[in-house]
Amino acid sequence: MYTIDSSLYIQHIFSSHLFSPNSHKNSLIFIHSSDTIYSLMARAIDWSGLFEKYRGKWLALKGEKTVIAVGDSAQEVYDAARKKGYKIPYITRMPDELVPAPFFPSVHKK
Amino acid sequence: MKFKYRNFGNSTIRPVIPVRLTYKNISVEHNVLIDSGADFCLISYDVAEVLKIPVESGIKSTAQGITGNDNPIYIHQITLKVGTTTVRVKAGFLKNMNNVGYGIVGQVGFFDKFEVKFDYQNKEIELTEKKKKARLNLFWSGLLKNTKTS
Repeated sequence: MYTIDSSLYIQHIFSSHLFSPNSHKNSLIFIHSSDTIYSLMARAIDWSGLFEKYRGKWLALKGEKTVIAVGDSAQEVYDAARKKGYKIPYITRMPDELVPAPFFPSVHKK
Repeated sequence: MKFKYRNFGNSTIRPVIPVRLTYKNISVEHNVLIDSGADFCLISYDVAEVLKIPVESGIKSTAQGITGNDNPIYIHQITLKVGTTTVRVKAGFLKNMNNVGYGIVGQVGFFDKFEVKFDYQNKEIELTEKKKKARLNLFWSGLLKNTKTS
């Protein structure tokens, strides 16, 4: 069993080593490499497409990605989804932009 | 209950999960950011409008952002359903939360009701209702006690 440094593993990824047609032949050495493997394999729900297409818009969704209504207000998309037969619509708004910061630590004052 | 993080692109991956918010007999599914740095729960006015909450009749308070700006909020009791678990929560309603696109759940109202495990590597959040966990602990401790005495 071989172990390798995470940075080496990432270098291999970027040099397309693992993605080449014969990658499976060499990939065994990576199996026990590090937690980085899990990190790269694990997937969040990908909303990058929705964000790019609908930034700043309210959406009513079916499931996680199927858009059933688009609008400028929560009420608008809620009503549109209700008209389409969704009893409890799932609404969200795509951010205008991605600001890498915490938003409200929210110190609570009287 | 396990939920996946959401990837908005540009390496912006956040612990945002869907919840069901109910006020009286109106419900809506909406997203919330699980924010351990937030003192309490905040939802946007837009969602209050959908839920027909008379926002300004609530208890007036102030939320302070990281920049130190004070923002008026109004607190109302709503029902929050996460997966199969329903809890009553006092949430603050805030104007101009639009840019983020989701509510925020914080210490009071969420972390006091759920044990939260963030697993960034696997892009997962695991929630366990504290009452349920306490019941399970009681069950197992009772079982253990019975085993010892028998």
